[in-house]
Amino acid sequence: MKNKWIKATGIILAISLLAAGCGQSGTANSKQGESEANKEAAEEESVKGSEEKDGGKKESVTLTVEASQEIVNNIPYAFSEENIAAFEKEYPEIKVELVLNPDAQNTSILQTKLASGQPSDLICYNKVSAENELEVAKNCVDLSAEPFVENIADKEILTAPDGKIYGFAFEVKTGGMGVVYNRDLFEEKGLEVPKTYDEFLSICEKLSGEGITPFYGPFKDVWTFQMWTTSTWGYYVAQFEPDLWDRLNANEIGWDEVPAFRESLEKAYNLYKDGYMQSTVLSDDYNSITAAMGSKEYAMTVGSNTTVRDLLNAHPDIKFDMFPYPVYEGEEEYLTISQLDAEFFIPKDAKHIEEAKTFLNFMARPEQCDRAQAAASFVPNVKGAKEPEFDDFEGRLYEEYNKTGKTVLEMNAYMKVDLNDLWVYFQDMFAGVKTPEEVLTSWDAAFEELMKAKGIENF
Amino acid sequence: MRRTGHIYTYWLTIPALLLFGIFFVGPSVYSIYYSLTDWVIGKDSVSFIGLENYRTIFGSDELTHAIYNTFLYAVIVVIGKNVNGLLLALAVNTKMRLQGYFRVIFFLPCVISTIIIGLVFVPVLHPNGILNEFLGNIGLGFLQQGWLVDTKIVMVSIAGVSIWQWSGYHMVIYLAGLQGIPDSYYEAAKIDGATALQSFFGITFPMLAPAFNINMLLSLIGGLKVFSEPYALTNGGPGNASQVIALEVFSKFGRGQWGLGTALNVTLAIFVSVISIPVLYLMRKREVEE
Repeated sequence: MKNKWIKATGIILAISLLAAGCGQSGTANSKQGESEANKEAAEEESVKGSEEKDGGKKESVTLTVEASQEIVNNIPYAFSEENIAAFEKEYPEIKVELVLNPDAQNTSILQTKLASGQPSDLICYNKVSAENELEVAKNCVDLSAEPFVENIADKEILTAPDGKIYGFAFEVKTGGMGVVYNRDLFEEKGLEVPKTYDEFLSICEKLSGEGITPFYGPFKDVWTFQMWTTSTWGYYVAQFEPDLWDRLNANEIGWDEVPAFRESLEKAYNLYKDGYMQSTVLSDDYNSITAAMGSKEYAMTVGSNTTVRDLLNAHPDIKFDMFPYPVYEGEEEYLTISQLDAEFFIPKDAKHIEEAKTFLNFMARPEQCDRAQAAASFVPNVKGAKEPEFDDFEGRLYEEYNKTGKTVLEMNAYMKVDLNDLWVYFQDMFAGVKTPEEVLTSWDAAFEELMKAKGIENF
Repeated sequence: MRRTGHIYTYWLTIPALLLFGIFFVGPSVYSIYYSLTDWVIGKDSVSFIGLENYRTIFGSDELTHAIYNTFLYAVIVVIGKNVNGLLLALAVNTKMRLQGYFRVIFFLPCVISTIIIGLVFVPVLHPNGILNEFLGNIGLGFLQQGWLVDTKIVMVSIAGVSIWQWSGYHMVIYLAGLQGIPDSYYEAAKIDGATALQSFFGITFPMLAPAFNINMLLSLIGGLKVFSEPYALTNGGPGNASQVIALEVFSKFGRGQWGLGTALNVTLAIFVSVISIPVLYLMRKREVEE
């Protein structure tokens, strides 16, 4: 009897719950229906609004701009919120949506989207890497005839190897790479910026004698030591063998046949071996630079403009600066500059190609460049745009190297394949697994495989 | 009461089989085909290249090193997790104060994300980290190591972290096995004058066969498929010192070498099957014999 009651109560409860569920779902559905109806009405109104404004039949579109988190953080002027707001105000039918990718997966996500024919409307990527890794000549729209090209101050910078222009970037590249150092510490110890490798070594010896580790190596991250090689090798080729990149890319010479490459690696490795770097180079990552350089226990490290700027922000009471790697002794000192970054491309399979062109034509106006200077200073590549207001350190580098043409392009800008294997071999070198010579021999073999897989001639 | 052989008809398995076929069998068969192609990102066509990708795998020092590391890691963790798990299970199976508390403590690491474990252990295992400091302070400075940077021991360090994390999980399985052994067996053995060691090898160990088998198999398959531990602790470094097959697959896919990446994945699947199936067969046989 008791069981019967329990069963009956259970059934009633179940039915009530079902009914309540249906009721709720009905309510939810009807609310959803209402909200959808409202949304549709709003959309209709918006489209109608834009039609009325333009007198044409324009539909609202969302323009997607895809980039890595790193590029958005490092190149804030390219993604100036004020610029985007101004664009949306002038073109109310176009909404801009930023799609951010994790740094480590950015390349593969973009490659996959391009390969599957479902890319965003605009892609922001480093110029030379885009030419090699995203194959912009094949996958992106030729923008050579767009009106914005006439506004560009230096078209050469944007021109791809096939002579066409596939994208737009705000700046003329000025960011350098070199030895980042604690200027206060140098002044305190009476040290001058070294011009030769011997001078560099004597500085290391002096600092070491005073209990300061001369050079901080944050080589746990696989990409950090390559700042040394992309700079020094880039400098060597520009100064001494200008056709070397072409010969390497044509398989006319092997990487292990260039003694200067080995020399640069040996010099770096000897710094570590001789105790001029901390013993934990493979345990310390790039982020640890801020604390290490702020501690005054270290005097120098690898880095770029961004590194110096970050250090100055983190330790406003210390002066940091940068000088070119004094690895090879050339006729004059040259600062290595990195390839043009944050260039916007329009994929051929993008849904809104015309709107994306409108966006680029809008951004390439002087007033947008001027407005973007508020996010971070940069030298604009747009006619009529204002010169930036640099702080001490960047202003000095700009005056001393960029304005006088004493810059060379980094090695990475000339490469057609992913360099990760090479960077891993650098770690092997510091781990004592490979000698500098073996690094180059291994890379030569890997390079050949990668070039072959990419279908490049002569491999 | 009459019992029927089957409660439900076979066609009820069709939805599950369909899902299994579409999302597992299909892609697996496809991946065998793609492993025989030169599929790379950006190439217009995919061509059949036979066993070329497999030749690349077994002809490359780096990839064979990753295979070696995978096996080394699997062997260490299978032994470590099982020995540790069994010892912990025996310990927390004895009647003592705070028994429940210890069980929870030992089990806890396995519910934490491996990425978090990695973030915690990287500074602990840093050459100037807590572990080396501790060893130095208790007079064991000679044991200080570059745990994650010395290429000779990095795989052992990674396996050590994994053993620490997963021993509690295996402990729970052993504990369930231990609690299924009737006390009367031990009482009878005691009356017969058996020592503790004799009781363990004569009663506990044979009776734990099912738990032992499942633990061995789980740790073996987990060991061969290892990815997150080296990814979180070293990302395969320094250099290629702690690369394992799954990390190489991840790296190859990330760089658009899809054909080679798929071939590596198929190689891993073959290794796991070739090793696990006979092991499972042998263990089941032992279980039946027991």
